[in-house]
Amino acid sequence: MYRLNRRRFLGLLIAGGLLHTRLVGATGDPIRIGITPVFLTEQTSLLREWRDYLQERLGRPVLFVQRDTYREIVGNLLSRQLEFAWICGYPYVNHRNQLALTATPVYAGEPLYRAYLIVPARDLDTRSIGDLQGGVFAYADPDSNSGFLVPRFAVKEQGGDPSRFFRKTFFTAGHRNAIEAVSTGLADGAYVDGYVWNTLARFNPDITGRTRIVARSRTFAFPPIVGGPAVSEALNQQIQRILVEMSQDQNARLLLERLNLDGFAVPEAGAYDAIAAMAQKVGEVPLVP
Amino acid sequence: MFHDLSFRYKIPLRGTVLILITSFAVTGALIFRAYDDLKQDLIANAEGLAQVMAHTLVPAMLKDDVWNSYEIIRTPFNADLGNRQSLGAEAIVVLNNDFEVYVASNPEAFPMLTPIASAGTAYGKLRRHLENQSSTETEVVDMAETNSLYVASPIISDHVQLGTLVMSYKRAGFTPRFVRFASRAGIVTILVLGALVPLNWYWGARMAAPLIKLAGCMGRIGQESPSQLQCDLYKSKDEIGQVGARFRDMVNELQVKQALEKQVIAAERLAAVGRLTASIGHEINNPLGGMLNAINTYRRYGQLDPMAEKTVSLLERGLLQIRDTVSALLVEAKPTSRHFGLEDAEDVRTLITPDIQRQHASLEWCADIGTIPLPATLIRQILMNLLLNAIKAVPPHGRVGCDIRIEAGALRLSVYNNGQPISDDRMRHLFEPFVHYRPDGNGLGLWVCYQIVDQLGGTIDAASDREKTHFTANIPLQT
Repeated sequence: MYRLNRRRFLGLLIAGGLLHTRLVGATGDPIRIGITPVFLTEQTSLLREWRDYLQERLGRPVLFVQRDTYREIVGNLLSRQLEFAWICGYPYVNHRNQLALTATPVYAGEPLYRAYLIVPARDLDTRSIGDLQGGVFAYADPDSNSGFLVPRFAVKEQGGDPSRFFRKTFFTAGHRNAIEAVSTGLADGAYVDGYVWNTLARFNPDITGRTRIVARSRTFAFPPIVGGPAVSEALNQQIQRILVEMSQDQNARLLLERLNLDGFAVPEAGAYDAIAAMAQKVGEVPLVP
Repeated sequence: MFHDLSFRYKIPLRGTVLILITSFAVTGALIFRAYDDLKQDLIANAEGLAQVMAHTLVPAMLKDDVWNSYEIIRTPFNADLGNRQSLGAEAIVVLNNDFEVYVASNPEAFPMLTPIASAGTAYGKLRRHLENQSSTETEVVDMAETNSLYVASPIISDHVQLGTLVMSYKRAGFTPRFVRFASRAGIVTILVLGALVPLNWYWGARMAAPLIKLAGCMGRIGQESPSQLQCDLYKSKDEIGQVGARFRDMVNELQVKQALEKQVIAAERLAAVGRLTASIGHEINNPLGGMLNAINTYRRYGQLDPMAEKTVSLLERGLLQIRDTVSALLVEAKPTSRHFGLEDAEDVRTLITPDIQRQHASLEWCADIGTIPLPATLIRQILMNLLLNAIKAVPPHGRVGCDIRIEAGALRLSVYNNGQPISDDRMRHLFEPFVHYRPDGNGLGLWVCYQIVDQLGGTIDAASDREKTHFTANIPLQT
């Protein structure tokens, strides 16, 4: 059903000549890239431009596939319904024997990011996650490093039981929603991706203005772009090269600007070990709504 | 105060009061109706929304998906309802079966998992209401002493209640909309008033105008003579028009009456003068005749020296002059056997022709009669006197006219000229003896005419204006 719709859709586009110039030399099946709320996925026009850019560089059609949860994207990646995906470090380390690292985004000069513990701006008392005991806590996604693993790890480090520490927890399907849940007072606190918070603060300061950052975590390797089992080594290399070269390409400057990234780098081996170690320490299978 | 006011103000004032009462009554009724409609609208909208939302919330609540539930109840607030803000809910709260907040559109006011009763006394009442009367239908909870209306809808999945959706609406929430409507209605009312009130004043003034004119005209009666009363009254067949017509008739009758009175007075004076002159004339005539006889006798038998002769002649001439004057005063219509006929009229015409020619005047002549039973001598004298007067009155190359006819059983002699009009002052003494305005007249011509006509039982009138001076004698035919 999905393939049929996609084919028909592309067929219509080509028949209409709408993408004619863009698709000159674009042959073969499209490259499907799954994206998750590791960045601000509401920027539809940005995705459209990025897709066009990649199509031009690749000479092949590119399709971004959006899903609410990391789990769906990882599932599709593993079942070869996607070629690549931009996912969190946590699902990557869970499935790293089946996935190939393609590129790591470079943010603020480094391929690293932090998780922020945020509370509503009116809450001036909270000093650490320990002060939120018995409160309502929002998780971005059960497969998120910063939005799930980090807070649970922090609770555990304080000697608490993550499943009983809060009176109520809920998932918001993305960091942006978690920030909004805290800003409106629906949740008393949340751990969110620092890059997403900063980017939102840059483009939509109203929402972040109603939150206060209580704590910043240590740095973690930035959510990577990975290739699934369907991707050949050559294609992985090709995509890696295109992404890494974006920071040198004048045409990609505006794209990176809007992504709030400096560019993409070749991932370092072992960059995600810290997340793996933390997952092992938390040692539990996450609860899924 | 109002009682004594002129109709010019009374009618428009009454109309204005009527217009004001009508507009305020209609506007008031409309506004009241709009208030009711608005409330019904609000309730119907809220019920519909609550039902839809309660239905949509079922899958999210079954999965305990707080965020999804939150997004669902935020929808009405996120949608662009800018212009309908006044009808928007104040808060939407989802309660679990323990009446705790599951999720709320405004989490700061309704923190998750707090008992709803802690959100204020109104919610405490609402909780008691929902507890006591659990309903499977959407209901509007309108409780006394609360500032809001509540719409409660149970969230039911397969006959199992998962919770309750509560939407609160501020009672004052639809005030802005109502105020907007009321102010629009107010503006329309003012516009209508702005058009109707001046129109009413104009109509009122128009209606009152004939009455005021009539009243003003009536007020002048007694202060001015009816003949000078010039009233331009409103003409119509309505009541005011009828009153006006009756008033005009009355004024005309007054004018006629006054003219008649004047005529009567003039006739009586002339009659008195006639009687006086006649008795004086007879008193003079008797000794006069004796004196003249004495002079005759004296002449016949006495020898007169030249001196005496001269004196007697002087006396005789003087006495004769007195006799002429007196006999001229004593007009007596002696019946003669001969009747007046067309040839008499022609004779008069022939007799005056030299005078007409001397004056270089033109003569308009119309005599439409046969022989009529009136004394010829007297009628001839009247005609001659009137025509000679007329000829003397016209300027050179003037116009003199004579019209003789039988009309309504009377002979009508009409003589006119286009000379200087006769002043009112002269008109009053026109037919009196020795009233003369020309050096060559003896002042008895019109007196004689009057006396003759009077003795023949007729009337004689004069009328004079810028164009014509008219003397008309009407003498009834003797039967």
